[in-house]
Amino acid sequence: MKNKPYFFIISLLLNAVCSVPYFAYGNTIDDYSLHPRAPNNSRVEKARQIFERVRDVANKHPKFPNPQLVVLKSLKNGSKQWAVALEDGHILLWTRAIDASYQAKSQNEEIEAEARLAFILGHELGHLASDDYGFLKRSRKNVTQKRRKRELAADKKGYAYAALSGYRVNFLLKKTSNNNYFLEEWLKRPREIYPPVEISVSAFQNYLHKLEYKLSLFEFGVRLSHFERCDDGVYFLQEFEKVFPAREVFNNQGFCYLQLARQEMDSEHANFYWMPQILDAETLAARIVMGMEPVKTLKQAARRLSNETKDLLEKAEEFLKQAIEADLDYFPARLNLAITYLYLGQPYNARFLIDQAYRLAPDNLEIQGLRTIIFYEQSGNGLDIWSSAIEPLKKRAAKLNAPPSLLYNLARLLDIRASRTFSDDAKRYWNRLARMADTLPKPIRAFVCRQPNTVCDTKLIQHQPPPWQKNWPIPFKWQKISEQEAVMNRLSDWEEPIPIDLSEKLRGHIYQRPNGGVEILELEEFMQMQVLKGDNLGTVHKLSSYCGQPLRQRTLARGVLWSCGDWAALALDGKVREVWRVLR
Amino acid sequence: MGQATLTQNQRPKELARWANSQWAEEYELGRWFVLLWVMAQTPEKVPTDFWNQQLAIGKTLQANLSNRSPRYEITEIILENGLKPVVVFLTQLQKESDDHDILSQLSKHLKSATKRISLL
Repeated sequence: MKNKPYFFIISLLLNAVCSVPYFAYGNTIDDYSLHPRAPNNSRVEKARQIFERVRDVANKHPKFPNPQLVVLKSLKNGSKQWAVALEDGHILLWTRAIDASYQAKSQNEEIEAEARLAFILGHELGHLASDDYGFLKRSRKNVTQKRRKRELAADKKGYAYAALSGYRVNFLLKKTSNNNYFLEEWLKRPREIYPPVEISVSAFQNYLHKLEYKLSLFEFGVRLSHFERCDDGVYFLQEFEKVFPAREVFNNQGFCYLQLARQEMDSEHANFYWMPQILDAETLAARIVMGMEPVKTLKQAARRLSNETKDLLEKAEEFLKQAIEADLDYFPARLNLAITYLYLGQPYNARFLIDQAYRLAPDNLEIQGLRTIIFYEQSGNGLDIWSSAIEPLKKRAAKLNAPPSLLYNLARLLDIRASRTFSDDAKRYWNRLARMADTLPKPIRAFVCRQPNTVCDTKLIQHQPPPWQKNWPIPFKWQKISEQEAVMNRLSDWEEPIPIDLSEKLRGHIYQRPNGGVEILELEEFMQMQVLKGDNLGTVHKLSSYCGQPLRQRTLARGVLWSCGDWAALALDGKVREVWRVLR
Repeated sequence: MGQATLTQNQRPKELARWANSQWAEEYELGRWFVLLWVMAQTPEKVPTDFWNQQLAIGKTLQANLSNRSPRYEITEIILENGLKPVVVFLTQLQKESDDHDILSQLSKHLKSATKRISLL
């Protein structure tokens, strides 16, 4: 309190007179009702957007499933605070923090400011997730060490949440054009009645650098899992989990184990239904196993699961449960867990999860479709739910925007009954899918095109290969690194490589070009993946011309991923921010 | 501590320095709020004269804060949302000095306004 200690002290006095416990600094949003809200302008609007993105990846305490942001106008001679988490689940951000974030007049001003705001808001979301803002309620004495620990823990969360939601946190560690560090400002920012976190800028930088290193591993874990390389990817994810056990990390690991389990199944089993969230379909195309006795539900198929597949599914279950524990409303983890339960032959558990996902997104047609399938999967022991499941699916399929997954699942269910009428009915849906065959994932397309009397419409999309040399200058060849002399020479000018030694099973390095434009993953001496980063990688609308088939689309926390074969482009607001190319 | 602070002639050092600062009026306002808050809860009937005197003090504080130059937004908020309602309650108490409803509302307002102003 620099400016109005009189009132603050008097408010303490009032508390003392009232004989009530000492209140924490600012309990609820109601206590800030006299504080003017910030007028709307583009920066305030940007802060709100950043908050939403960071909130999406943050852990949530069960008390606050949906934290809310209120932006307050900093008053002349008023509080010097930047941001605070309140014990009713609100986060306050003062315009002073927004101004401080935009301080540097540099070429990357907007990007730097976004990263700073994401960090500040992530820090407060970290406090909320740990429910630790009310610290002073318990004791005012000797709080420094505890407070410092909590503030640093919130800083760590702020940094990780900002990075996970796609903000370029590396700018936080660099000097600004004013030749000072934002972190310097952050560390000496007014912490009101809280004791300051006594830590030097360099120690704080080291602290965040360690997290930056682990984040690099997490990012490559996500990339590897995207390219169906979960057998390697899962070690990278595990490593990040050691320092940052958050819902994104658990969900990605769960997704990985689910993917590995599906790879263990025969294609008939894996693609019994077309499930949302599953994007690893391509590699399964070659593994279609025909001629087995047909099953009518996944519950029946679950009896044929090998022990190895079952173990993988149970691992997926374990991680996905942890992801949900970290955020009860985390939609992707709920969906992935429901799918895992279906494969495990436990439709009742899946039903519980999908009903909750349905409440979170009642208009989502894919969820509605999956919910109906789960409903049907509860058949058995004299209970036949087939007819009740078919009707709602048909209703949804009548809509023009019915997702192909819904049509596929409906056709599958109609075929299961295998009577003449239903087969004719199914044919209609197979034909509808056949007309859009060129937009279907390969194994689904293969299944659709295999149906009797179905003619698939596969137009060859005109395309050129991605501009690997021109706009996307991927620098290296896929061969042993020690055999590429020119490569070795170039790498010697790059940043000190980040060593990888994961669970004594994977060894390698991450190489980074000094300007941050390229990252290379090398494992056991071989180049595995090359990543381009930057603002000149083009726009999303050009991507389809680089691919001979429709691009697959996947929404990640930090943008939308468009992929095709051995490459993927991560885009934000229509602009490509990263290009990944993997060794196939 | 609160009771001691109010009854002591000698003000505690950490508070006294505000009495001679540019924030002297806000400081006095805060002290006055605590005094009123205590009196509003006194079970005994408070003489009408007392409330008359308090109204006069309130108006003086209002005038002092209003005449300040420059007037910051924060002062406007204190005047409008902190002090003005108190003056209204005190005016009502001139007519009905033992009206429990008014006293209870005054007490509530003083408590919340004190905290809210401290957070500005």
